[in-house]
Parts: sequence; structure tokens; C-alpha cells
Amino acid sequence: MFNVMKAQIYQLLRNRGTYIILTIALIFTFCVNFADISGKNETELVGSYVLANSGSTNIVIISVLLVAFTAMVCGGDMGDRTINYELLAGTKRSDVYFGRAIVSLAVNILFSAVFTLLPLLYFTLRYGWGHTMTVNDGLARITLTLLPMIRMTSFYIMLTFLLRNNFAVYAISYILSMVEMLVPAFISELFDTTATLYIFSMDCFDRIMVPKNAGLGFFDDEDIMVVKDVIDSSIAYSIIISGIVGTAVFLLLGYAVFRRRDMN
Amino acid sequence: MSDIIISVNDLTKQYMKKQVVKNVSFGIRRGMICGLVGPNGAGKTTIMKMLGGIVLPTGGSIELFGETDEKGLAHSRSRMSFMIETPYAKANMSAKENLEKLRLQKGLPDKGRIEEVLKTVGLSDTGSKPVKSFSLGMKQRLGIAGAMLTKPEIMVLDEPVNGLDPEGIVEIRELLLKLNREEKVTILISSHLLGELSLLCTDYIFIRHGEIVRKLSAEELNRQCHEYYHISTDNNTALPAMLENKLGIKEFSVRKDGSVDIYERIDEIRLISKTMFENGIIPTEIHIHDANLEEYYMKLVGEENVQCDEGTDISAAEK
Repeated sequence: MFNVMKAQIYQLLRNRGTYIILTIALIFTFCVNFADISGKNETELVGSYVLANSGSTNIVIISVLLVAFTAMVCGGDMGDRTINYELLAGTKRSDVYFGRAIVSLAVNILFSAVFTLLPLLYFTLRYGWGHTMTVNDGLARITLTLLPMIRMTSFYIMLTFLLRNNFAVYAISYILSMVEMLVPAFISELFDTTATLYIFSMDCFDRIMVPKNAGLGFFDDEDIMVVKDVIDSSIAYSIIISGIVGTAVFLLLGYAVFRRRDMN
Repeated sequence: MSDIIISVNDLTKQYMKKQVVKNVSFGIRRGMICGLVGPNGAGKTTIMKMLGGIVLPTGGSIELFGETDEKGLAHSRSRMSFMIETPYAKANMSAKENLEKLRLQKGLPDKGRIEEVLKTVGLSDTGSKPVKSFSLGMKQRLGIAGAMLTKPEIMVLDEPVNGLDPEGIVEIRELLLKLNREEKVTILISSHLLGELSLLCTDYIFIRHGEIVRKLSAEELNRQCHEYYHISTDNNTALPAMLENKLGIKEFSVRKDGSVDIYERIDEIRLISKTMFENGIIPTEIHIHDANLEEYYMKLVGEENVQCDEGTDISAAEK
């Protein structure tokens, strides 16, 4: 499996697509964070404020990155059938599958962390952390996003091994992202439930990274934006359980499909 | 250790309701160059894919280096190299980068081997040129280079000279012969270029509609492809028994009209004629025929031929 992972990383580093996606994501992140920086006062540029307000845009960037890199790592060798050479060389199907799955997860965690933490780090170093949310709350939110991210990656790993076509994965992910944005919001309007967290990864991201209850607070003679909602423990547990169970189910389903599949 | 390093028993592959490989059994001895011969859709590539583990058999068993279980087969495949169908490579990467990826994936420590195999197949001067700009012949060479990377004990090659120019075909043939003679690499090769195969193979497996129609050695094939006598007489029904009983001739075939093709004792036509006269069988037509490999192939796997002839079982011969 280690050899499969090494070969995948080598290939990823030599793939022009990797650099194109990263450049686009970087430009997008830059534009979102720095576009109207001159019109903001300093309390709106502190790390905690940036974290509280960049959630919705980060969700979009991260979910696009997840789909793009998962399809690239897991599906890149299926389109041109170079994956067959791994099987022909005697690499076990479990190694071929899980080697790619691990690289996809690692790459997605790495790049998601970079695109989440890079602007946060910049603004925190330059303007300080501020008082919009505590450091602990911020760290808890960032850490909790790992689970839905891993679950979402696992879902796309399964989908890529099922469809064996990157473009089909991109198309389906686009449709699913629409569904994931609209359906949980619609259900939440009607019911007060955490059930959507078990079905929609995006809902997990949304509940963690986009604070719903924020308002003005008075601090050091200044009115500042303060996040008033804390992550409810039942929501946190639901996110953790759905993340672990979902990851296991999706990865095992994907492997079950790949294990008995003819690679014609 | 057994000399049979590939053994296939009752191998079957079915897609939906269509059986593309039907109860195929054969054995490959160490050192053989075995040609898998058959028309398009005969099942040659599917057999090779099942050997390589990329297509899973519906029935039957595969034994590689004595291993039959999934783990053992995977390990055995690491001692083999495959080039099946068009050689696949990453289009945007160079030949060297493609081989480097293959080296990493196979866990080979020797980086220098890449230059070595690129030089052997004549691709050492391609530099950073991406594979997408390669000709089919160059891609074939790259596929062979990939197959040579591990110094395999067995090479399974599906149509390896497709798309090569005559010079390239000769080079690849010489390379395969060299690998077989000097490095004792066993080769299972399929090709439509029968003349080309005849310059390489020590054994043949003829396949048609997913079934083996004949297995024979190069000597046997040569004998059958060389001269034979076609004899027609006024009493064709008595002719086969006379040839067998009076002359001890066993290698002959009877045509639909009862006339006979004799493949052995070609230089004894006087004796054959004399014996026929002595037994009251008057020849009405005798002529010598020089069959070539293509003719033999057409006779064996052509649509009009429906008879399945077992020939000599090359694995059974060893067992």
C-alpha cells in the first residue's frame, strides 16, 4: 500500500491539474478575504471575526477541493486504465483501493487546512485574534470540520470507484451540492432535528462553521461582533458519530464494489 | 519444483449470458514462448486479463508458480509482467516519468533500471516529451519497457508488435528471443501476425469462440504446415483403413468428400501408391500441397471449421 501511495503522490505532483486547482482556489481565497479589506475597520480584520464570517465561502472552496482531488487521485488512473498495471503487477486490490483512499484523505485534509488556516493565520498575526469568538471555540469548530470532511471525501472515493469517470463524479457532485444546500435548510425550517447531520455533510459544515447567532457586544469601549451560539454537545456528538459511521460505510462500500469488479 | 509455472483449469468467463471463455485449460512450462492464436473476439485478451487479475473468472482456477489463493496469486503476479491491449500510460507524463511512477508503485529500488530499459527499447532520447505525442509504435515500446522493468520470470504480451514498423517488429522479436534465451523469461504472447509468431514461439494454443481448438508445439505445427499429399481414389472409404493398417500412417485427415491429406512420410509416395494398387485402390488424384501457417490457422479457426481437435496437450506432455 505504501508503494501505491508513493506512486500516487509522485503522479499528483506531476499533474498540471493539481497546480491549476490550487491556483484557482488560492485566487478565490485571496479575493474573498482581501477584496474589500480597505473598507473594513480593524475589529473586522481580527482572526476570530474572519473565522466567524468566512465559513460559508470556505465550505464552497473546501467542497470543490475535496471533489477535485478525490476524483483526481482515485479516478485519474481509471480513465486511462493505468490502474490495471497495479493489479497486473500483483498489487492487492485492497492496497490499490486503500492506498488511493489514504492519499485522497491526506491531500484533502492538507489543502483544506491550508485554505482555512492561511488567511486566518495572516489576519491573526497582523491584527490579533480579537473577541468575536474564543480561541477554544475557534479551534473546536476547525477540528470538528475534519469529520464531515473525511466523510465527504469517503463518499466521493466510493462514487469515483463506482463510476470510474471523473467527469461523471464532477457532474454528480455539482447536483449533490445543490441538494445539500437546499434540502437541509428546508428541513430545518420545518423541524428542529439533527437527523440532517447524518445525511448531509454540508449541513455539518454549515452548523459548525457558520454561526447562526451573532450580534453586537460591547468590549473595550467598542461595539464588536460576538458569536453567541456555542456548539451544542448533541450536535457535536451527532457530527462525530455520523462522520465515523459514514466514513466506514462509504469506504467499505467502495471497496466491496472495487473488489469484485472487472477492470475492462 | 514443477516446471509448469502457469496452469489454467476449466477457466470460464461469462458476461451477462454470453460465455466469452469456455472451460479453457492449459499449462505453460518454464522457458516456453507460447503463442495464443485466434481471431478477434476469440477470448485471448480475456484469458490474459484473468491471468493478470484485472478480470475475475466466472469459473475454473488459475495457478501461478504453484499458488492458487488470492494472496499467493497477487504475489506470483509480482514475478510477472503484463502488457495487455494498448499499452496504457499517463499522457501528460514523459516515458521516464511513467516508468518512474511504475518503479515507485512496484517498490523497485534501482532507479538506473529505467535508463537501462528505455535504452533497450530505443526510447532513451525522448527526454521530457509527453507520451501523448508518441506514435503507437513508441507507446508499444514504452509498454514493453514497463514490462521489462522488474526483470520478470514471465511476460504476458497481448499483440506487442501492433503498430510497429517492420524494423521495430524485428527489434522486438530479437529482444523477446534474447530475454527468453539469456534471461530464461517465459513468454505468453498473442498476435494476429502469425508469420511473426512462427519466428518466436515454441508452442501454440489456438483459440476460437472462447474455446481451445488445438494445442501443439512448434515442431508439430511446422510438420503440419509443411508439405502434405492430397490423395483421392476410386474407393475413398477404404483408404483411411488401408493407410493405418498397411502403412502405419497416423497423421492424416479425411476431407468431406472422403479424400485424404497425408502429413507424414512425404518422401514415400512411391510406397504409398504401390500399396494402394496392391489393395485394389486406384488413385484418381495425387498432388503435393505446401500449406503455410495462415492456411493452417484458417483451417483451424476459420468459421467453416467446427471440429475441435485436442492435438497434443502441451501441459499434459510435461505432467
